[in-house]
Amino acid sequence: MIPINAEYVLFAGALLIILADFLRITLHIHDRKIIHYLTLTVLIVSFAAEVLLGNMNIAFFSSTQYSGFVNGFVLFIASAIYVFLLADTKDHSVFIDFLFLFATLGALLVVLSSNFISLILAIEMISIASYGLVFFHKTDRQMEGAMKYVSISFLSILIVIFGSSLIYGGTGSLAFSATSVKNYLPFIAGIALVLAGLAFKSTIVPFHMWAPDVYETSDGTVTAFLSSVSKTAGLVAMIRVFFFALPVSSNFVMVMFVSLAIATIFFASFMAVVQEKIKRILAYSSIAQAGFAFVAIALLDYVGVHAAIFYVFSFAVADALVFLAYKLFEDNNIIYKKDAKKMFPMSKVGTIGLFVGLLSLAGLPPTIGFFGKLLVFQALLVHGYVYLVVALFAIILFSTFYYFGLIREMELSKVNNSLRRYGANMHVKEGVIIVLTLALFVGVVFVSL
Amino acid sequence: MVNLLSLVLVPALGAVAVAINSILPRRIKPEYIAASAFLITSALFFIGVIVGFSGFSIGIINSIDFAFTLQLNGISLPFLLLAVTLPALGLWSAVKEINSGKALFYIFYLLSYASLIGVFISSNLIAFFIFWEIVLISFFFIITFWGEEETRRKAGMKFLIFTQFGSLTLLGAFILLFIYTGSFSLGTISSMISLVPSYISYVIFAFVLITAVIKMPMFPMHSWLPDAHVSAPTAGSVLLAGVLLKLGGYVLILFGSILLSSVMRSIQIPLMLLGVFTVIYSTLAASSQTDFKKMIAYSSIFYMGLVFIGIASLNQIGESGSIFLMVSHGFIVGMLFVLAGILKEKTGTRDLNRLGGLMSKMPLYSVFLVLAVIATLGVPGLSNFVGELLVFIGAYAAYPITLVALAGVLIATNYYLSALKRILYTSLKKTMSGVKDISYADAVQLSIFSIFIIIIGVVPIVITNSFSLTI
Repeated sequence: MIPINAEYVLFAGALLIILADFLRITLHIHDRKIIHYLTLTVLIVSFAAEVLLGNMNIAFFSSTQYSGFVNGFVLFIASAIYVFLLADTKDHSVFIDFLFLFATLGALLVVLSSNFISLILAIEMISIASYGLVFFHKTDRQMEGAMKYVSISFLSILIVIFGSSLIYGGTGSLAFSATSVKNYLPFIAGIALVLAGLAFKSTIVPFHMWAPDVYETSDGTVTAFLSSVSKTAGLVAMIRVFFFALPVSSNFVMVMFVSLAIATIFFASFMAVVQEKIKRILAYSSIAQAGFAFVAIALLDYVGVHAAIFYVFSFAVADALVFLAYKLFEDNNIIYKKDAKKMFPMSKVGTIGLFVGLLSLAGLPPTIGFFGKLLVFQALLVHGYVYLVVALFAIILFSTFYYFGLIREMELSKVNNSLRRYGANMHVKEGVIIVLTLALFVGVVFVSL
Repeated sequence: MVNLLSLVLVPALGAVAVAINSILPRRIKPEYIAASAFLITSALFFIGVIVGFSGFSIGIINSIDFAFTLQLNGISLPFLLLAVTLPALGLWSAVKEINSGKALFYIFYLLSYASLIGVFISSNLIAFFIFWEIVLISFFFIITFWGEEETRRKAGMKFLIFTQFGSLTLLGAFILLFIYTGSFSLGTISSMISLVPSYISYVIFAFVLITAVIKMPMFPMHSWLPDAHVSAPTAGSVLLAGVLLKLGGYVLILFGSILLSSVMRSIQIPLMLLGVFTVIYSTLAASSQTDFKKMIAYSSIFYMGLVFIGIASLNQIGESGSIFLMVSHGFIVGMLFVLAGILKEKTGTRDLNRLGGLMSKMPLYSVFLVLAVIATLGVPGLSNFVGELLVFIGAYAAYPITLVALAGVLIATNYYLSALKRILYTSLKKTMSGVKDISYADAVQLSIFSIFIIIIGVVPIVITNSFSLTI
């Protein structure tokens, strides 16, 4: 076995970047581009390492059957987002590169963690890096978003730590592999607390309050990162803890999970309908998507987890796509839904990308969003939840209102040819959007994982 | 042998060609590309009818049995005739009406064309559903972006919400079939349908029924149709009434009366009552319309009600009559919508109260309008007659009481003839003095419709021999 994998590459790369920046300052080179390209190289090398030889087995961290897939797409999305960030006209500091690498590393480690301690450390790694990323442009509004994020995130991680200490009291171990319940009461209390803590990360109602504000204030690329990579980490952590680690499969837990998931989907969809700002619509839609993944996790068996993993993949790609595509327009002051008719003349590729992303989020074929929902429904029906499926049909129908309400505002037919190209490196940004759009169609090959 | 793939591929490639063409520096008109795609597809279809079709299959995801399989089933061919010819005939109306965003319109039009054909020939249910949804989305855009200015946004959303609900229930039925038979392939499902437990088959049928009731549409779920028709451009209306509504009848025959006939038989009486009620209700609603297009829209609900009665009669004659009526109604209603579009184009209004005496100004138009109206009323020798006759014979054999629906035919005769009178025969309104007759291109378009109507009416065996009630 070759002792190299994506996580080592990322960690070494992040340290290398600090070193390279010291060198740069010492040698009085003012151009930071070289560091940025180095960051990109690190991401791509680690993606290649994950695809070619992704495996990891050391204390606290170990590969599972699907971790290669999850880490692969996380690195793919992270690389795409970073290329987009790199193409921005405003130069960013090296600190952002460093944080970006560490947040990605944290997401990978969450997927691999096999112990509560390693899980908490990995989540903290994403969180601490994300605070800095939210405070990207150092404006007052971003300060507000970052402060909200910091305070709520601290609370959530404290709850997880407290919950895992209770689980330790109930089982006598913090390792995922060796848990047998000795004392039921602290165990189930710990489960509830860990659930609450992880639900903060993956924006499950009622622990979602921070998400719309933070998503709205952050830079578009950071929002894309938070809503795809960071949320993937949260949901996969739930799968790790509740499906693989702990023997929690009981009716009580299932009902608790399903009701949280349903509450998430319904609440987020209802909130999305009344929003006027495009970014808040997308933020609430992203919360609703997490609910759909969670409803599959709630089944706590292989069919459900398989559906959940694919669903997470499908909405992570689509969310990254819509937030990146929307950033093109946000930079040109298209904030409200009624401004959407200016989109198509500005960037055709961006509009089509946003459009396909919304189709995928709404679950329409032939995008992978449809196949994700298909697997989730199949898993639910195998378990006999016909009523649940009918309720979900109703809410999908309802969510069609806001997805297509937004698409409808784009007014594709009334195009006057005052095509205004704006900003530098548009071709790079549009290239990223094209790649992600194609991924929404090609990703269907991963249905059987 | 003509491969079925070519019928889907040619229009899809046409859409791609329109898209590529729109970013080239030197462009040809998108209408030409669309027209050639329509011509090639129609030619391939008619060659295929003579020399036979060959299927196509490629596996995509084995774990959920998703294969791209194109194959004719017993009832595909008559529907395929509609799906291939009607959008092609509607093209001329589109050329006249669509002025902004042409390239995008033809992309959506060709996409919906390709997927309408695809729905009728795909024998894998996932492929079926994908085509089904692409039709729906393309159609949402056609209404929302190119419809009539005042109503288009609301009507498009209404269309989308109603039909999307129908799609979701259909998806639910498909997933349930997959869970119990382990396959999405239509052939496998029909041979293993006995594995489905009885109560589940009721759930599946309920889902399919909701889809059909929305899509056809039947009484409680019909309100999207008049709005969608009034707002849609003429080409869209032709497509909507001519082919899209038939999707509802198609799934009801395929999954209801062929696959789950025992379930359907146990609730036959309520179904027939629903059909009869829809027939009476829609004719009464149509009688009170003053917008010609809205009147045609309600009258197509009436014909779909007759189709529903025929399907619910669950015997060979009734079902054949339904399929026949759907084909015939497709051509007639397409012609009527083209005529309504021309009326709006020439006189500026479709309001029956503001029209009158156009016979003297538009003699050629009058010929076609009279032909279309008497065809829709079921005059022998024209196509609707055979369909209505078969449906009523079948319905009488099942439950004689359904002949109450004949009252609907009477009322339909009344409102159609009165509309004819108000458009053509009364004294000429002053505002109509400058109206000109239709052009030769319009006449050619309408003649092709008429030829189909007359051929099907005189030689009904071309349709009745083209299908068998099997999967």
